[in-house]
Amino acid sequence: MKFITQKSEIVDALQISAAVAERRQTIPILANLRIIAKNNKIEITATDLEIQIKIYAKVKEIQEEGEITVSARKMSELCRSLPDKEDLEFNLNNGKLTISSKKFHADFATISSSDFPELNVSETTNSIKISSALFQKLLSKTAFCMASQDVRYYLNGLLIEYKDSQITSVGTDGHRLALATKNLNKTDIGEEIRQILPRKAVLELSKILVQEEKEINVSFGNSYLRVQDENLDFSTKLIDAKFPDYKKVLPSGEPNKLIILKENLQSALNRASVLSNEKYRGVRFALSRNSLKLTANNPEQELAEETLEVDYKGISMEIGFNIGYILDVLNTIETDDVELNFYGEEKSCLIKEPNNDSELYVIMPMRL
Amino acid sequence: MTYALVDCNSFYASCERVFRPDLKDTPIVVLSNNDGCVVALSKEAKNIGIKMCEPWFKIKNSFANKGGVAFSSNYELYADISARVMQTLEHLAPRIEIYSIDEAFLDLSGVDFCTDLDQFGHECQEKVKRWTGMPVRVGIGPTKTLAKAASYGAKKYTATQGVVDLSKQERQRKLMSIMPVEEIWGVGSRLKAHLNRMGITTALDLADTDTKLIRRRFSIVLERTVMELKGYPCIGLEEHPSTKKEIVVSRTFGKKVTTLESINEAVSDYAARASEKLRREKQYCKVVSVFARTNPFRLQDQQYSNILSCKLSSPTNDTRDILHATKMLSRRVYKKGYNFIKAGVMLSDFYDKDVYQSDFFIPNSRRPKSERLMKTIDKINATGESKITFAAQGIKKPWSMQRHFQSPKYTTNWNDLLVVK
Repeated sequence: MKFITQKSEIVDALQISAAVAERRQTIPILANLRIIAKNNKIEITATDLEIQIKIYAKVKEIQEEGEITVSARKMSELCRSLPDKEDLEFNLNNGKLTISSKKFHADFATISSSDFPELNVSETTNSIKISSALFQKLLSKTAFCMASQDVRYYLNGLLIEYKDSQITSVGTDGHRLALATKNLNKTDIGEEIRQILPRKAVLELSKILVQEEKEINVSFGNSYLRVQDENLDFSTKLIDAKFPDYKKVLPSGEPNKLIILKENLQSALNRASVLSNEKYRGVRFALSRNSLKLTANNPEQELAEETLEVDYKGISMEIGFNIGYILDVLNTIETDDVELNFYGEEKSCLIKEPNNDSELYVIMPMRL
Repeated sequence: MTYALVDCNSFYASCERVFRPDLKDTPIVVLSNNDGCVVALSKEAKNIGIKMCEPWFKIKNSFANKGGVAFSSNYELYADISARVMQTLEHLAPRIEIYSIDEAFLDLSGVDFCTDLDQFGHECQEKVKRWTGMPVRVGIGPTKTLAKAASYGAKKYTATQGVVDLSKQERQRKLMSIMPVEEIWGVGSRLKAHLNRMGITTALDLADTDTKLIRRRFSIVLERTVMELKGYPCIGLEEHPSTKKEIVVSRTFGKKVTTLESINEAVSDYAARASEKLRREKQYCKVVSVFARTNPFRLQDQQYSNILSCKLSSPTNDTRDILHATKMLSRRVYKKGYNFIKAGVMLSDFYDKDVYQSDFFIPNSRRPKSERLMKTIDKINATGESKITFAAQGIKKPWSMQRHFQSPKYTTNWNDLLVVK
C-alpha cells in the first residue's frame, strides 16, 4: 500500500475514527484503525464491536492499493501535529507503515487487516432520508438526559421512534426526560419503528453529524442502525430491550404555568448552586403570584435565597429540584423566555420553549 | 486559643478495673474478637513484657503464672464508660470534641483567664476519676497538635503526674526537642522515614522547618501540622462529628463456616446491626455490600474472597429492606466447598432523612410505618442484649464469636449489676 495525501484531507477522519476505537481495549486490534487505499480514495474504519465508523477521505494519488491497521491514538495524534499543507506519503513496507514528508519520517507498527473484526450490517429493513442537521438536533437536544451506567441498561441509550412521518428521540435517566419530535413530510415507510441507540453511539453521532441541510440516509435493521452519506458510514448495534412508556411520564392535568427570562433563571440558579448541598444539589422553588423564591442550603448551615419576578398566576406551592437538572435543560432551550409548568408539589415539572411543543423536558422533583 | 487533650490511661484495661478494684496493681490484657490477640494492656502488663498484638495462645500460660488477668473485649462496657467520661468533660469546658472512644479535645478559651491551667488539668483528672473511676492524663497547648504533644509528655514522664501545660513557648520547645518526630499527631512511621532522610528527627526539627518546603515535598496536611507546632491553630474543634460515609459490620467467626445457611445467618445478623447503626446516624443508605473470605493463614485450605454490592431503588434504613438485599448478595458471594472465616456487611451512599430524588419508573416504595417500627425495635433492644431479632439472624448462632473471658456488662444490663453482699 502506498499513497500520497495532505494532512487537511485526512486529519479529521483520523480524529473522528480514533474516538470510536477503544483506548483500553481487550482485543489489541480494536485499538487500531484500518486503512484501505482503493479506487482513488482511502477508507478509514474503527470499531469497538458495538459501533463502527467508516470515513472516506480523498487522496492525491494512490501508487499501490492495499490495506493495513495501525494504532488509532498514535496515528491521529501524529497527523494532528504535522504541518498543514505538506504532502504526506504513506507507505507499507515490511510490516511497517511509514509516514514521511520533506523532513519528517515515522514508522508505525501494524497488525494485518485480515484480523480486523468488521461488523456485518447488511440486514437493513427500512430506511429514511433526513437532513443531517435535523438528525443531529434530535440527538443533541435529548442526549443529555440519557443515563450512564444505570442497572436499567435500556436507559443508557436514546430511544428513536419513527411513526406517521414523525421521528422522535427520547432520553431519560429516571429523574429527568427529554423528548424531541420532528416532522418528515416526504417520507412515510408505513411502519412503526422503536429502537434504542447505545449511549456511546449517540454521543459520537452527535459530534460527527454536520449541522448542514445535507441529506443522510438512516437505515433501521432489527439489531443495527446505520447512518450514511457520501463520506460516512456509521453503524451501531442497538440495545435489545423495551424502552419504558415515556408517554406515561409526561405530566397531565391543568398546569400552573410560569414564564421567565431564561437568562435570569440561569444566573439565579448558578448563584444558588454555590451554597447548595454538594451531594444532592437541591434547590427549593417557592411559587406565589408573580414571584419565584429560590432557596438553597448546605450542611455547613450556609444559605442562598433569591426572589425573582415572574409571570405566574397559578397556585402557591413549594417544590424541590436538582439544580443541575434544571440548568441542563435551560442550556438546551434556545428562546429568550422559558416556560415551566408545575402540576403539584410532588409532581414532575414540564419545561419547554413557549409555543413549542416539539421539544419537552420533564424533571422529577426532589424531596428536600 | 487554648486546647486540652484529655486521654484515658490504658482505656480498655482501666474500664475492666472500674468494677474490679481488686485488680488495681494486677497486669491486665484485653483480647481481640475470638480471643485472638492482645489489643490493649495495662502498664503492669507492659512491665512484665507483654506487647500489643501478641497472639493469646503464645502468652496464655506465662501470663497466668505471672498473676495476669485477661478479658475478652466487652465493647458495650467500654462504650458506656466512654460516654460517662465525655459527659463529665462536658461539665468542665463549654465546647468539647470527642476525638475517639478514649480521647477528647476541650476548648479552654477563657478558662485560662481565671484558672491556672496546670491546676485545671489536675482538677480535671480528679473529677473524672471521682465521677467515673477512669484515670486520665491531660495535655494543654495553644493548638490541638501541641495539646497532643503535651499528652505524650504526660504519658512518657511520670514526674508530670499526668498533666503537661505547653502554653509557654520555652516549654513547647523543651518537650519537642526530646520528642521523636513520629510521635507527633499526624506523622506516622511512613512519614518518619521520609523526614529522617531530610535530617528531621525530633518534633522541634519539624517545627523549625520552612512550611513552604513541607507543602512542596509533602502535603498541605503536614504543613498544617508544622504550623500547629509553631503555635498557629489550623485545626479547629469539631463539635459535631461529620456524617459517616459508610458503615461496616464484620466479624471473624468463632469457628469455620461452610454452609450457606450459616453465612446467611451471620450476614443477616451483621446487617441488622449495621441498620441499627445507620438509624443512629439518622441516615438512609442506597448501596448495600456483602463480603466473605476464607482464612489466609490456613495454607492447607483453598482460598476465596469476594465482595458484591447492589444499589437499592430508594434510600432506606429499614432492616427488612437491608436484609432483603444482603440475603440476595450473600447467596451470590457464597461458594460451596470453602471454609469461611469472616464475613461482613457494608452500607454506603448515604442520604439525609427527607431528601429523596424521585424516579419516573420506581414508585417511592418506603414501607408504611417503617420509621415507627424501627424506632420501637431500637428502643426495646437498647435496654440490653438484642431482644427483638429477625428470624434470619438465627437463634443458636453457632458461628458467633468466642469470648471466654468477658466481664459482665456492669452498666448496660440489669442482670449484670454488681450485687453487694
